[in-house]
Amino acid sequence: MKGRGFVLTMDSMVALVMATVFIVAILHFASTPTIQADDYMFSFAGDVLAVADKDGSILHALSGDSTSIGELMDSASENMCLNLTVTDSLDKRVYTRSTGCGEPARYVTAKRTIVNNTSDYTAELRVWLR
Amino acid sequence: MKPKRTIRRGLVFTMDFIASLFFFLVIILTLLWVWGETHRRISEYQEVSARHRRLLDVSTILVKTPGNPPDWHMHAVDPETVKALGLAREGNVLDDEKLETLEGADYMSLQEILGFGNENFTITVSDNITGSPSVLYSKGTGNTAKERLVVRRLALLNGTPVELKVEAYYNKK
Repeated sequence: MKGRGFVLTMDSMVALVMATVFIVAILHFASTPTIQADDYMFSFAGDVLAVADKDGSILHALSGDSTSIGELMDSASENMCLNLTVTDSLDKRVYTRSTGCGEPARYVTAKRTIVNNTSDYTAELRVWLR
Repeated sequence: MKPKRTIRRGLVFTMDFIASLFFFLVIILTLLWVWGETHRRISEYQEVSARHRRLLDVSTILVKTPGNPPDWHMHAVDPETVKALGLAREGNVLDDEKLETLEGADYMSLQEILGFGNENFTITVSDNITGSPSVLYSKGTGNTAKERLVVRRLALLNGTPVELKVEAYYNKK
């Protein structure tokens, strides 16, 4: 009688599973290199707030004219989403505007205090990638 | 009298041994390839990340500071005398006189002052930030480098929002 057998032992199975898991994990991490854009998004958000403060766009928006703040926010790259919230000194939300993206899982926030003759406001701009 | 014993030794290559050797080699070779590939990608990532960081720093200095000395645009643009090149009157407010001087300055001197080394760059200021931008000031030229990094910043120029774009060109190693 000619009998041939192939034995799969428990330790070989465990080793095979572990090796496969390691290889798949390494391949996954190696294949998803992402440039961290947080610094860039933060700088851009700071620019938007600084320009909006200095040319009066935020104060105009508070008095009902959102044209200039809209243009500033729309100047962002297509893959960038922005959400602006302005609160007064009592922390009451007085203005919000978004570029129309969904809720982000991860975002960068820049803040700036806007000083008016009569009161001061805090503008908070959240930026994230689409 | 005892009969002579002959000792015979053999090496058996069983099927399971050959199969396990094959799997082992495949796994080892795959790991070596993954190791090399990961190392290459990490190096590439670090390089691009450092370039990006530097470009962002350059753009921040341009858009937020007046430079060092602040009146650098009143003199010849020379790396010996100009320590840092800034285009701002104040944070995010650009100075048109400095932009004019930038346009007329020697490209190689600017490259040295801005810290680009032998990489080429362009600096562009354009208005109409939401529509088709029209270039107001420009320095440097695009070239045949394969890779390009771009940083866009917002600022005011004479009360109007403008975009300052800094581009750096390089070739991958």
